[in-house]
Amino acid sequence: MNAHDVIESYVRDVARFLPRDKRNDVALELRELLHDELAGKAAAAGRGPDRALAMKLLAGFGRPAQVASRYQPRNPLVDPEDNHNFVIWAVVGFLALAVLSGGSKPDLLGWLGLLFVVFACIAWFRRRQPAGTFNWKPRVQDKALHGGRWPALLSAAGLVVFPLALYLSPQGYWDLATIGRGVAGGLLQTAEFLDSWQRMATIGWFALVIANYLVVAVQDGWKRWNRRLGIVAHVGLGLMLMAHAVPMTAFLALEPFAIFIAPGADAIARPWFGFAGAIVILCVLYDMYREWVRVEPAAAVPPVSPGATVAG
Amino acid sequence: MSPSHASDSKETGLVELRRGVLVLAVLSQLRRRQYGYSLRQALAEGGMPIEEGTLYPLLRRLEAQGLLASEWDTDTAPPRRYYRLNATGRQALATLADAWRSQVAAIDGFLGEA
Repeated sequence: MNAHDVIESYVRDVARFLPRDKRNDVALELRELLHDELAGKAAAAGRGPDRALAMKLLAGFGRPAQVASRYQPRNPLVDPEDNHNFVIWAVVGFLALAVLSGGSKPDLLGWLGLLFVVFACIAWFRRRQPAGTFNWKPRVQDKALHGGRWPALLSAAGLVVFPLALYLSPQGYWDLATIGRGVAGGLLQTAEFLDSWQRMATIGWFALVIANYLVVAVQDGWKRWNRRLGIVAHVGLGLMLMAHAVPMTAFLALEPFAIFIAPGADAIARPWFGFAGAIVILCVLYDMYREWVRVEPAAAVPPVSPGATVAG
Repeated sequence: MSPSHASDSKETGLVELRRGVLVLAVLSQLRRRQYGYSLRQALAEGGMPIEEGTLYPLLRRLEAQGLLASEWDTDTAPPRRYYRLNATGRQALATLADAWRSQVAAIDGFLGEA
């Protein structure tokens, strides 16, 4: 392949990236320009135009796709400014699918493909709107992620009254809720479960979550370590609740045990444990995201001058 | 900062600086008819060498923006595509030249303070 053939090959490769209406015209001009350039370089080097010189020239020119994009700039399928959100949604989706798939293999590639199509459609739509349509607008400051003393106290009390009490004694809870008219003994738990490490660990995570809320109530506000401890405790709690949805075994044992004595109750309750755990994990993922994007230190409250009035 | 990083930054700065005035330089040279290679030679001889891969597509873009007129000259061998400023391009050149002079005055002022 001589220098002429090399240039022809290059021009063809550039041309195939160009729109049909420009292809021949650009190719014709590019071909002549490259020959001019090659002749100029050969003259400067004091030798005839050869393959090596042509390859060097074209290497400096760039890959054919790059050259074509200079002639005919193309919009990216997904706008570069959306990369951040794309990655966030990809990771959150992966985690959510992994949590919600319930043991079956999650379709991660499918999610990535769907996400790509959605972001490409957003980019396409955005480009077709008049300039200024999507200008940034200020919004009121985001609500605090967590409230102060009273919301924390309410959360602690709520956790004790409903999920923790239900978990500790489902039969007692059921009897209380039905005023003793429910099925007697229908929610009694097996001895293996009552002595299991899984139950102890779940109660421990519940206790940690509740204790964290109580500390927040006492100090009347969330500190960084409270927020992060809350995240850790909720992750632990969510995972342990999800662990109730699969067959549970004691340490170093292979034989799984049931949670409830009644087989029907066991079959009904296990998926609900998994569902509750998945909800907790999804909520804590949001908390993790909020923690990750948090700006610290928070803005100081602007000082109000003594003479200031509501009307200004 | 490592010496190589500093060198890269300096190189990037020069490239950015040159890119900013590239259009002005090209328009100034197209007051008379030129084809791609002759324009590149003229710019290089004037002290502004420009990569061929950058210059030739730029001519097409300026033409698409309505600043240049072009025509194929088939009387030459090989045939060449010639470019020159049209009326809109001449106005754009005058505007850019004014902006350039005021920028130079401003930057000279800043550099004088340094």
